Amino acid sequence: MLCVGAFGQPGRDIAEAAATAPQGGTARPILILLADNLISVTDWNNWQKRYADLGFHLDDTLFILDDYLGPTDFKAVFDRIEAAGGTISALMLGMMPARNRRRHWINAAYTYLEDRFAGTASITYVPLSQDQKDGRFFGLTRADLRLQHEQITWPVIGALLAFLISELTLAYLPNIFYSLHRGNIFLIFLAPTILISLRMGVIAGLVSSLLNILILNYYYVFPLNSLAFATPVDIFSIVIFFTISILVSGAAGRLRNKFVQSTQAERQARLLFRVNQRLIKQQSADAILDTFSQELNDFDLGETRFFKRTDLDAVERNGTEDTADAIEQAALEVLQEGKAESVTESGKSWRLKPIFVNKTPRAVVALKLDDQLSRRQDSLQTLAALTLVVGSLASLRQLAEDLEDGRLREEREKIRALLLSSVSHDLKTPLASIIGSLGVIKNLKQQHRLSEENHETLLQTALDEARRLDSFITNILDMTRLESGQVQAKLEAVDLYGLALDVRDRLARKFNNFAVDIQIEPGSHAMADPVLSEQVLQNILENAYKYAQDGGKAELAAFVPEHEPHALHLSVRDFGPGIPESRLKSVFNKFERLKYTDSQVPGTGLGMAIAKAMMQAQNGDITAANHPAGGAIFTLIFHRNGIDQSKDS
Amino acid sequence: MSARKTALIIDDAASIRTFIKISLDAGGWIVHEAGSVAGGRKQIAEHAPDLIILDLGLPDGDGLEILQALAEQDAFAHISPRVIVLTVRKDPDTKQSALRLGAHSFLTKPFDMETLLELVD
Repeated sequence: MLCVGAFGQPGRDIAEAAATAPQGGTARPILILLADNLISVTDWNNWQKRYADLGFHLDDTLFILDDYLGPTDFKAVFDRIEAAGGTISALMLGMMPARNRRRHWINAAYTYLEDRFAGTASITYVPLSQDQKDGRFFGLTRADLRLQHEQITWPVIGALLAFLISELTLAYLPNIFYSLHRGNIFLIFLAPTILISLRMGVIAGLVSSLLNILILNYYYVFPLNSLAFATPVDIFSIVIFFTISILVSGAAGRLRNKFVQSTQAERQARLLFRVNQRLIKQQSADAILDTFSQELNDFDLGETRFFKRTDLDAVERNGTEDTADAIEQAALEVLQEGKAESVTESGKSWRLKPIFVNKTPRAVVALKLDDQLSRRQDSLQTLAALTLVVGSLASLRQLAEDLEDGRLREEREKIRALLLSSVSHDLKTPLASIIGSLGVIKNLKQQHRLSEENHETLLQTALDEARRLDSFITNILDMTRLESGQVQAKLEAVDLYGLALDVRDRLARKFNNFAVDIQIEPGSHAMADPVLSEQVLQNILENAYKYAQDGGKAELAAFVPEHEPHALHLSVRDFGPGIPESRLKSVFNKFERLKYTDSQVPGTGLGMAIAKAMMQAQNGDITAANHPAGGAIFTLIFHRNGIDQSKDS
Repeated sequence: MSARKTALIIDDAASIRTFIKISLDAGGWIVHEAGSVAGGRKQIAEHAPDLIILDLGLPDGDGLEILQALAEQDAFAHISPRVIVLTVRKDPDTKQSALRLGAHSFLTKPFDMETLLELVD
């Protein structure tokens, strides 16, 4: 059974209605409207909508309407329903404006309901429009028309002050007083009425008017010391007083409402702007949610809790739902259902609202509702706006992430295909040459048509290709070891001049027309791994030879850059075609060479990537540039920290 | 055999060209070589070969361009060489396009020299 509490239209007697409550369980829900006569049409429509949201139709519903219920009757209604075997599973409660004169009663009723149905029924608060559409009188609700003690106290004080001022003037400045025009005395008494109408509304204004007219008439209008409303002037002054009170208080009320509304709107706009400012910088939807959760308290909503889907999933996975508190459990439900919910814990109402990221609930904000109903409404509105803004920010970021992911996947797929084709090319071409060359030797030998010269050429081809295959496999293994961090550099002071000499000698044996010009001062030391640095230098020089156009020539130079006294740069200049500007940045990428299929130059496409990884393993680096006069310059960047500087020449 | 037939090997790997050339030489062919699409076109125009052994992955383009030119261009209308495609590419799409463009056969590297010689005859 569903029980809905509301403050609505006046209706029938509660006792009669409750008597018709069904015996035992029933499929027919009961809508109980606990009514106050201050509900507006808008509010009523609101109720109907909420009711339909819960899956019920007013046509199928048994109505219990009551007007001016007291808390005692209230309890009796639920007692009777439960005694008849009904179960109350959901409550809808309206939030009344704080200025409603019955708010104390309503608050008491709500506290009672929250206690009574804690954990057994869900409680939904339905905001009522503050703007009361009916019962308006110059912008005032009927609530404003009811007397409260301050609506008498202040008019009395105002009237007494006016009287005091008049009497003091009379006592101390009688000449002035008697020369005053009657209209001026009138003004002294009109002033408090205007002020009170302005500050306190029409009731206090009318009370003030009445008091002031009486005093004015009794003490200062002839015949003195008597109340007389004989002349048209007296009637006129009464009308003036009353009209002013009503007009001024009406205008002030409207102004006050507008002011309250606009300050609320401004506060909310500022808050949302701040949220936007802080969250928009975050790089991922997750980061947006995390930042929001960290800064949630700064938004001055009251007590809040934040749950991310991942955290709640963990709760569910670990089977710790039983130990999770009521709010955590409710948050889990909100995530699963994707609908806002209200729960009660330790007598306090919490409102839980999901944050949707691209239609999926990704987090839940729980807000402890303030006891004061106007604050409740305010913070609920703010919560709704916040979850919406945060959700849309995160959704946008998520969309961007997804797009980026798609692009990355595509790029990775492209690289993978390229890698595969390049590896198969680099493995299969030398293999094909070896198999082919040996096959031809065998065939021609059988046919006795193999010349000595061809035999030699074919053997050399097979041998060269077998070496090439070997170097390719070595490179792949090196790269794998470097990438997996298996290579540990052992740094020591290495003499770059000696290193360059060694590498030059080795290359001289390999290529017979390669001229390496060493312009390094003997004794230039750098912190390096002797094996790795030698291999890098050799790779770079071999590369220079491969790309050289006329024979082979390279220049080596070492220097300490002016702005980096602790670094040592070893530059290798070749005299090849240089590197196209567009490829300068990617030249150290794996298999870069193969993107451009310039495979007249033999190589694996891994040499530069290996050189870079080896330099980085030594806490150094390598850069590529073009020499203005042609050719490429590769700069090996070593550091010199920890080197005894006296070793340097 | 009346006049010696002409073959053209288009492959960017010199090692591949070397052993095919030696083998065809021994078989009585006049052998020319090219290492690129542009070089290939030039040699075809110059020597009007009877046989073309064609690699697909060439530095300045795809070997299929040569097949296409042979099939479509007026400059090559008077010759109809037998084209044997020799490549590391294994995908059926490439093979199909090569055969559709008029390739005689399609071999993937590494290959058996005897198979190639059978296709040549």
